[in-house]
Amino acid sequence: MVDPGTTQRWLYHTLFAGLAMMILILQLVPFGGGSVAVPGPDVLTCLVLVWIQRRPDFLPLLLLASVLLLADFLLLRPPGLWAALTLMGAEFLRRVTAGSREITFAAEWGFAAGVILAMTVAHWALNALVSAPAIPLGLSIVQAITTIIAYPFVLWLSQSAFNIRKPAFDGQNQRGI
Amino acid sequence: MAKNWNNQTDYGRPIRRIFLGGLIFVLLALFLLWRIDSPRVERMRAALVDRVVPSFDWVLLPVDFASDMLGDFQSYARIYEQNQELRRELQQMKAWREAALQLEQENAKLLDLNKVRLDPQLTYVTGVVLADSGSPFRQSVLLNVGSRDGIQDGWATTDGLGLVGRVSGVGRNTARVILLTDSNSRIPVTIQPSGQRAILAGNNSVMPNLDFVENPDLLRPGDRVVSSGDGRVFPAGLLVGQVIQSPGGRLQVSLSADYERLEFLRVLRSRAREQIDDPGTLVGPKLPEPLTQADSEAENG
Repeated sequence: MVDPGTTQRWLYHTLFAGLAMMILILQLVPFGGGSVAVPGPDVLTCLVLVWIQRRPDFLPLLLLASVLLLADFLLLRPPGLWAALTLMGAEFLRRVTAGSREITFAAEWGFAAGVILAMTVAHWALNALVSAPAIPLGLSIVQAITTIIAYPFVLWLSQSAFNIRKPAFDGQNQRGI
Repeated sequence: MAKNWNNQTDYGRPIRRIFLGGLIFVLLALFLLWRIDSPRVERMRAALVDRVVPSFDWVLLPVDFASDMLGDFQSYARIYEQNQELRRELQQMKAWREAALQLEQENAKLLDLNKVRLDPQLTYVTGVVLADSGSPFRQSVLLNVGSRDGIQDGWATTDGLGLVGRVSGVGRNTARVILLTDSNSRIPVTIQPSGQRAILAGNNSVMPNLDFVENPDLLRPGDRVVSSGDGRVFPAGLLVGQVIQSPGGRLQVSLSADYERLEFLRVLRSRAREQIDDPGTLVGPKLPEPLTQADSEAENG
């Protein structure tokens, strides 16, 4: 007899992996748009940041790290750097907000925005430090801003479609309803 | 009270922390390895892409279909204008065709008279575009031909009309083509008819810049830009596009290849040319052997 909580967790692990693959595929599809003036949001980062604050138990570290590393490889980024920064940012957000239920949406968005900007600047700075061919800082900041704008939509979708909410405080209600 | 709320026991936390630190360390180490030994890690990347992306095929098919349908629908909306436009273009093309035929005959005659030996015709492999780069800052596409089909790094790709990019990164079944618009792309070109040499430098927009032009005054907007074959990067004489001048006065190139719909690309097989490394010697009458010590003593004594 399998504990229903465990079954649910495994379901959500699969769901996260599936969503991440879907985002990657959609980014890779040759729509032929080519160059755009405003780079689109980094939806995968948004998804990770939203989920880690609500249900860290749905994102085991190994799964998270491997998905992020795969994204780095497929999207032609320097391998490992953005993944490591995302792990750090996610862990920071989890520490800050995970313990309390009373944090408002505005505060959460503010924290997330700060973390995304810090990750972007750190990515640029570390690339510059090892003198790797990096994306200009201006363009990366524009992408960070579109990512921050996309954050509420990802949050809303995660809450309404996948029911990713904080569990009740007493730990009784693992489903988080 | 807050204990156990996310299913972690008290001893689970330090372990999680150590594990997280380890993961971050491994990822950063991989980044440093990439910086130190880039070719090896890029080969790893090519192998990974080779494994993962072709399995998306079943997803790409309906998406391609949908985007094609959307494009077709948009073109139905202005079918009358298009028809007029096509008629006009056809008229112009007929004139050009006539001119081209005459020139071809003339050319053939002249070549025959001169006994000119041209480069052997280039052969090519055609591949289907599998995926984009997936990043707004990189301009590249992935083809479904790879080392299995004999593709090698550095070969040129065209869309049948104009140059599209060069192969950079070959897996067994896939090859990545860096487009001319990528900000890392640098191609030596010649501008006709003035014969000026320049470097075509991608800038992440649809119109790459022309850098290092010797004498910009000799260029006119509309001049043809072809690959020059300098540095043996590409075969010479492939059509790239036309010179245009941006409102800021910068020289740019409007590419001939249709970057909006890259579906099939030709990879041109280029063989390494023979290189002349002998400086050449004087041609003259055969000189006598220089006298040795013993000979001169014998003459004197």
